[in-house]
Amino acid sequence: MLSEATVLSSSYGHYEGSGRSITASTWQRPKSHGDFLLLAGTIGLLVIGWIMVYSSSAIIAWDNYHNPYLFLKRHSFHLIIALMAMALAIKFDYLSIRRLTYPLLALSLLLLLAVLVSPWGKEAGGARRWLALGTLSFQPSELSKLTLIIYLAHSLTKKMGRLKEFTYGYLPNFIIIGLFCALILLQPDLGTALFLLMIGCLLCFIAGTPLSYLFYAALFCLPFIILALFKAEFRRQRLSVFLNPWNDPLNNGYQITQSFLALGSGGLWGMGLGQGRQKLFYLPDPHTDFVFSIIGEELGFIGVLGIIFLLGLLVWRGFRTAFRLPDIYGQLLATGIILSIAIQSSINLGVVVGLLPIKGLPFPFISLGGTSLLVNMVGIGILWNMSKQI
Amino acid sequence: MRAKFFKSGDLEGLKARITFVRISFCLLLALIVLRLWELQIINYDKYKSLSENNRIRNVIVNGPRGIIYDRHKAVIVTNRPSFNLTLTPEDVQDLKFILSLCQNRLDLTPAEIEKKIKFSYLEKDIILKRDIAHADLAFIEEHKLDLPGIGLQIEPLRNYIYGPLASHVVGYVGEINEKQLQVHKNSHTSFYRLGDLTGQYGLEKELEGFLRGNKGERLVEVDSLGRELKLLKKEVLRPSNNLVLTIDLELQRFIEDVFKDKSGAVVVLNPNNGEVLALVSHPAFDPNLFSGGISQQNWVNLISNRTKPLQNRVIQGQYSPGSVFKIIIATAGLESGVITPATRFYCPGYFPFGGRAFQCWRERGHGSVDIHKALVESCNVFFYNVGARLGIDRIAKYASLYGLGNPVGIGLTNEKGGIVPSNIWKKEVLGQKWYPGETISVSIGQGYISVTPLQLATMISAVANGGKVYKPLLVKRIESPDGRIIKEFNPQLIRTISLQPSTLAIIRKGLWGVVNAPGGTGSKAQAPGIEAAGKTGTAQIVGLSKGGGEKGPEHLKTHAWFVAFAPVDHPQIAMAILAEHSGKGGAAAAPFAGKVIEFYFKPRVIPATQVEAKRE
Repeated sequence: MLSEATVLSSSYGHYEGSGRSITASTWQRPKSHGDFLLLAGTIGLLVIGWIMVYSSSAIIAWDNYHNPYLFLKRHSFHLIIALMAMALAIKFDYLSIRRLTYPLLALSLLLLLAVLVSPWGKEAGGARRWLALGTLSFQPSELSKLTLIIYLAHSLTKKMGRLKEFTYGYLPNFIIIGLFCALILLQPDLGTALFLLMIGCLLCFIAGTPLSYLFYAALFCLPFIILALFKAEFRRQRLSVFLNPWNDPLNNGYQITQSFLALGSGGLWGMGLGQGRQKLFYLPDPHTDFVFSIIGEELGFIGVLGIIFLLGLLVWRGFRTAFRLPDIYGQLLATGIILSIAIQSSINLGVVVGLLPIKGLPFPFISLGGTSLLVNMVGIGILWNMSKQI
Repeated sequence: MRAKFFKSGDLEGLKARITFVRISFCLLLALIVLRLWELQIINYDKYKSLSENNRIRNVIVNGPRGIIYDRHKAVIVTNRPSFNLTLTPEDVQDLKFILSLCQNRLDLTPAEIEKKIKFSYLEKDIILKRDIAHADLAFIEEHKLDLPGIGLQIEPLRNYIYGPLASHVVGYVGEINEKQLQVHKNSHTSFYRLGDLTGQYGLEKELEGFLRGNKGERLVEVDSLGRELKLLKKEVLRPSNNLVLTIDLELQRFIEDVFKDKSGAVVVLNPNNGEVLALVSHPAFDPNLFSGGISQQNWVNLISNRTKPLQNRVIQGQYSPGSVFKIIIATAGLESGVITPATRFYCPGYFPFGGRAFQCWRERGHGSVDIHKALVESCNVFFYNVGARLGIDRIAKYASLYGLGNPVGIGLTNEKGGIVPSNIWKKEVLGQKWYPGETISVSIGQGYISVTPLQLATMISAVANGGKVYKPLLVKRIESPDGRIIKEFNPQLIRTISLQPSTLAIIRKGLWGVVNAPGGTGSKAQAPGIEAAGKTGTAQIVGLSKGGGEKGPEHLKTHAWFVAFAPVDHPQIAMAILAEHSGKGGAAAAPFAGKVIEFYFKPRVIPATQVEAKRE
């Protein structure tokens, strides 16, 4: 196998193309079966998620619809669609994704606009986040996570070596990131907007954008974030609740303190699958954003460690793939995808254990939520395809 | 390595920076594991006991449904507070005692309650009985301390102030069923829960989306016996939207009062815009029976009742129109040139056709008859002649133009369309050829033809207003609680029948004669001071020979029809009246028309409160 340095030096000065297009004629890519540990981590999380969505939603589904299997059925349906999408993504050479960058960018922005202005945009709980067609609904902000990663991987590869040039290497990327954040902030969805900002900055940092530029970006965003915080009463309250949840356990601190109670009463071994009490109308959203609390209650510290192990395995192996890819584009794309999963899960974990203020981000592969599952599974499919090519 | 992390644009640094992020993530996970260790292992006892003493309940509160007003903003349907008896199985200490108590005082069998507990899924509150009586309420309040697990819940219930009044229009509410829940299951905001009340019939059902009550949450702290200790948080519920109907409450009440011994239908329209001023279907039912969940006994009584009180006869009853149909034959005859105003036929009391004699209602005959006399005296033979010359398809064309044969579209579920027979209809539905003799029966509104009272009211409105067929309107507007108009329903013209002015003039003159000329069949519809026009009709159930005459059994007696509009010059109301099994239209239905017209045009005092409302 060619050493990394050779590939890089042979492509130095030709950043316009992908690494492979230069070396393809001289270098035969070795065939591999793909990274089974990556897949094992994913499947493990999916199986636990499938069981826990049922355990945590059955009572709510029974109470509201007299059908305990309702959310399980919905989740299973999403799962089948997502698995099919993943299978498709595996067959798709990751390098040809690059050709789709701009169409995908246009599509995502269009869908985000459609959510805000078209009659198909659907409001729920005070935010317009869904596009609804009949009984199917879709969350474009989830798609834009993947789109932004694909775009940045492409753009940063193209501009590699000129990232220090403010107007060429820096500004265009941040305008795109800002555009996504702005459209999502209008829904309003501060959590997803901050997530996009975070992953955007991290990818730029990894590609080599000077830290001072990232600092400017943070400085530029700060007033908007403060404005967003202080425009909505509930966000300020969330912040103060985060600082001291036990001050106000009945109103704003309710969800987080109930989450502590769920986790805490699980102990080492948990109360047993299906035995949790907090999902009985005490803890809100037990099957979506707070499914991890129910896992902690029913499966205990041991179960929680298992989930974190699977997550760690998945992310570690994902980075390994990123590391071993021969081309810069592939490295950035793989890093972006794996970072997206890593950041979403750590934010969700951070919120549930009270290390971060309450923010509605689902736990990848486990929480109920169709679009999120679909997009993450496509990401895993792309990673799997990459891992076959190293 | 460290130096390479932050060296921007350095390709060597790329991998170093990826490694940096990778390690950071692992450290983050380690931090989370530490925090979980603290929560789950170190503080296990604390959280375990906190969780066991978790006595905070989140109770969903249902808000009141919208108010329904009549056209002058007099209240027809409102809400009243009611008390539900609830059981929280988790808190029950002596179930046997509670079971025996419920059996003795509330007529609830232990089996019934045990079934409810079984289906309730753990510790959710179960509603044992909705809307309990005052005496029971006092008893429970008094003995609350001895009855852990038993609770009371306040819920606004539907109050139909006038009981059965306009029950077929406003409808009723009932507990949502599983099929209805399924419809909502895919939506992101699942509004309904099992046990919620929802509109099940009439406007309550059709406009459920506007009328349904808002929901709120109440956070309460309970003691170890499940009794509420204090209210922690309560949402203020916004009232729901209100309906303003086109119904005139006083007219509706008056008609229901004079019609109370009859079974049948009365519908009164404003012919100039299609607004429904009164819609009466008798016998009716009391929607209050449904408000708190209808008892099995009451439900069985309602659906097994042979007089079918749940059927809205105005839109679902399909009857032969009888002689009322002669208005359509007259229109078709004059418009297609089969007859002129001067055409005369001789009536000997029968009409020979195809080897059979079709009878006129007057055995000795009407002599020489023109169109005017034929309408006034309702001569069958004249119309047999016209019908035979028209043929069934031309009759069908004009009947359809007047709105027969299809639901008119009043906006209530299960409106029927009646039948307008034609050559094609018979071939398609019965697979048979049309016989000319059948046309003769249709000419006087018998045979295959069938109509709903609403269709005849729409038809007579069109005669009154110069040929305009309006869609009947029940709702004027939907208002927000602060009186803002959310939706307004404007008159909807379905079609204008293009008729020669002379045709309508002749028919209107004939209909005036029915009520006002000597020998007119509808003279009993006369009202003092107001000149009305109308047409009688008598729908046979079976032939005279089979017992359909005056002296035959009740259920075989003819239906009496009367359609009318008034005043003749500038019509303001139009109506169709159907009295089932009551005999002849002129004797059994026309008098009601007279009373309705007299009442409607009599100067009325509108109560002060309603004047206030009007001014707003």
